Amino acid sequence: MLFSSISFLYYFLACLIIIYFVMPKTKWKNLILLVMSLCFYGYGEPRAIWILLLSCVISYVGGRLIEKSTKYRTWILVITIGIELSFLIYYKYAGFFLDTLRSLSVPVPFFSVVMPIGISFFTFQTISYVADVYQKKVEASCHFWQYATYVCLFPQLVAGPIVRYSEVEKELQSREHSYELFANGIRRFVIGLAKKVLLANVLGEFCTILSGQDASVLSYWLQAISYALQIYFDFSGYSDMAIGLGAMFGFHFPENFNYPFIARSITEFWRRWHMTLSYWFRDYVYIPLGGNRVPFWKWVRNVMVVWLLTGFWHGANWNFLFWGLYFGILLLLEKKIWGKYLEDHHALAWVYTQLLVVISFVIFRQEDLSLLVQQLQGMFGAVPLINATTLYYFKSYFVILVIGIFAMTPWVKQLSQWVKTRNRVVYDVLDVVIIIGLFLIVTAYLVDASFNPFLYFRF
Amino acid sequence: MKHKIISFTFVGLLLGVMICNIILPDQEISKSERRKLTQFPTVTLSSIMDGSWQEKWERYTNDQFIARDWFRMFESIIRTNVLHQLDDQGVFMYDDQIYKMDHKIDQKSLDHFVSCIQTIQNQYLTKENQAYYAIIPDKNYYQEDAVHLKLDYEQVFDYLQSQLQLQEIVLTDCLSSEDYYATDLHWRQEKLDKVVERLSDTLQLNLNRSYQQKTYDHFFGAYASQFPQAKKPDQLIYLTNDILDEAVVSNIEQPNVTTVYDEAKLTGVDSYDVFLSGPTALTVIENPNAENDRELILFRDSFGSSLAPLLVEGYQKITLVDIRYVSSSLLDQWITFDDQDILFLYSVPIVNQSFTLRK
Repeated sequence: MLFSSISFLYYFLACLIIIYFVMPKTKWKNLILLVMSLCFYGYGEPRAIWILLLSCVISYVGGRLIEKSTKYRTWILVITIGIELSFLIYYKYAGFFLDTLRSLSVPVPFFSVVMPIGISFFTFQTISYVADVYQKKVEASCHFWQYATYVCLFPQLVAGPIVRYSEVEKELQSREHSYELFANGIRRFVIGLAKKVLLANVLGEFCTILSGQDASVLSYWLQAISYALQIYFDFSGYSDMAIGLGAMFGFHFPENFNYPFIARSITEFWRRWHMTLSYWFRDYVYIPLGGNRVPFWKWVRNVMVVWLLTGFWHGANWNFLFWGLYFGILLLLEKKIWGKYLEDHHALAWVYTQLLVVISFVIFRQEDLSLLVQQLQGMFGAVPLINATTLYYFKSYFVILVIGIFAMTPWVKQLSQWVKTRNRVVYDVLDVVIIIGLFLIVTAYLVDASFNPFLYFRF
Repeated sequence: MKHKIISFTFVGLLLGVMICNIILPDQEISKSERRKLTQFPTVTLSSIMDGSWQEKWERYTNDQFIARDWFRMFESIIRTNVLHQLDDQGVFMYDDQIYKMDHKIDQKSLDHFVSCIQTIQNQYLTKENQAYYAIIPDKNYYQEDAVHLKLDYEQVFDYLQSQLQLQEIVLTDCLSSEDYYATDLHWRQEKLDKVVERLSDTLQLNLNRSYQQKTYDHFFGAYASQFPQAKKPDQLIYLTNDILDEAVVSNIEQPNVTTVYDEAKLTGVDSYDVFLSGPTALTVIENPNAENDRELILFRDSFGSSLAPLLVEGYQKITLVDIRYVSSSLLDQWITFDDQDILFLYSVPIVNQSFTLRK
């Protein structure tokens, strides 16, 4: 079930809000959240719900055993993480590995399995939990249902942010609800919904239309830019919705995006893009490997391991590995060669960053390597500069592109702060009107929806 | 206070809409979209486990959403008037006419079209058959604004001319955008004077062309269903006279059909089906008042349904064949080709998307 669907908004969410707030105690509220989260997951993946539950049981038992044991705790950690990862490897990567072997003429059987939605996210959450228990950053949960509520909590279950147990542990035991938190949650949720439905979907439509037309340099660049914007609004919109839904039910989830397109280096970009994933790799891979407090070549190895894994996490295909490799190399170069130069040349640094980020998403988008090469060649002049079809669609989607570019900057937030300081009454009225207005517009788009993909579902 | 307003309005909206959706009876069809709406899916364990129930449920909740037509129109207005998109998912309005943009020539489709015609020629046509073809341009051929994209029609016409070994009857100069319905892709029967004149000149028909008009005022065409801002219906006019009243129609798919105009269809999903009861594989019109024994075999798409009645006067028998619904290889079961006039009459949208035509 997509958050951006009529069935979620006007049936699932409507029912959940009523049932949830009727429940008197946090324990009962948690139980309702768990049951409804399982319904939410089971609706989309009825055959895979056991994987989610088994993952919960294994990590819960693993956490308890790690805490109790002194002698075998490292072994228990390794075995627990191994089992958790084996689900991910089997469902997400086995097909890719076997295809690769087959392409090398190794006789292996054909293998096809449907990847359960959200497996990359909940596997990382359960691993972070047992690792934190091992490192004694958190105490192992004594209540399975409470722990299962953390893993299965529907707002963050299928697309993050990757919430750590330590971040919600206290709120699972006791949390407060207020009109302010609930309204803030609604605001955040509706903004995310609008980003997804009004910007990401329309930009995706633009991208799809252009890819079916006669090629031109302008067309390839417009596809690259609109795809970068689409994936940003798609994913950050989903994170906003998750954070907003969390707030409506009394949770404070970590931020996942912080205006990545204003970054002036690739290093800064990754401090602003999918932050919970970056922090996860930093804390559970990079630092355990020794981080940067190791000899130069080991540090290079650590960086490349992290970025190849980051790329591979996004998808079981060669283009995702190239994508990770691409960022790994850029980050190494920035750190050792031109990072200082970028700090002193803001405008140039911004252009450099955005150019490389846009190209990175061309790699990200295109799983067919020959088409990837064709698209990159097209962007740099292997086709006519412009044609009538590209010009028509550029004009047709010009306003949405401008809105998209405006919305990816902090200017909207700054503008609202400016109105707030000037006239509080106007700000409050606009706040209500815009939130409810946006929600009605989103509803109109969803009722007639023919194009409503969610790019990060496949991760 | 503001937080309470946002909270109660939002939750009120969710609950209010959910309750309305549950309480209000489900609609069977959408007249504005000219289609059947999804009904509540039957719940079975197997359909839930394989995900098919969930898919139907998603369609059902969208189709049966309260004030669906209003929301569709609202979205369309935002697209065209706020975001200034030049078309609404390929459809746009210009001078009160709704047009569909189809600007990319599909060469494989043109080849398939040519191949279908050639197959019929080679398989059936005799030396005594006088065979012609005529291509009806889409109405965007006549649309004059320089903004929207359209096909390179000359390229299409030139290609067909070079490939088809048939005499062409040019119709482009016999029509204008006003000769098509504003909300539909089809031409208006009452505006086909020049087309009929061109055909009768070429086919050497003796037509009196004296008709009475009958009208239906509430025709929302196929483009209206794709462009929710369309508010004004077309007036559908159909022409009749004694000859057409006495003509006998036989339809292999609908044995109960016996008349040229099927007035019961006027209030159905597609009012254009009034002409010869809509799209069917094989329809025969016999004219008992014919002054000759000439026959016409009309290979056609839906445009032929409204044109054929205007040619009845000139023939004893007209056989309409729609090879979208019957394979041309089966035609000798119903038709014996000898000395009939043969006309291949197709519109450009079909020519450019011809894979529905069967050999």
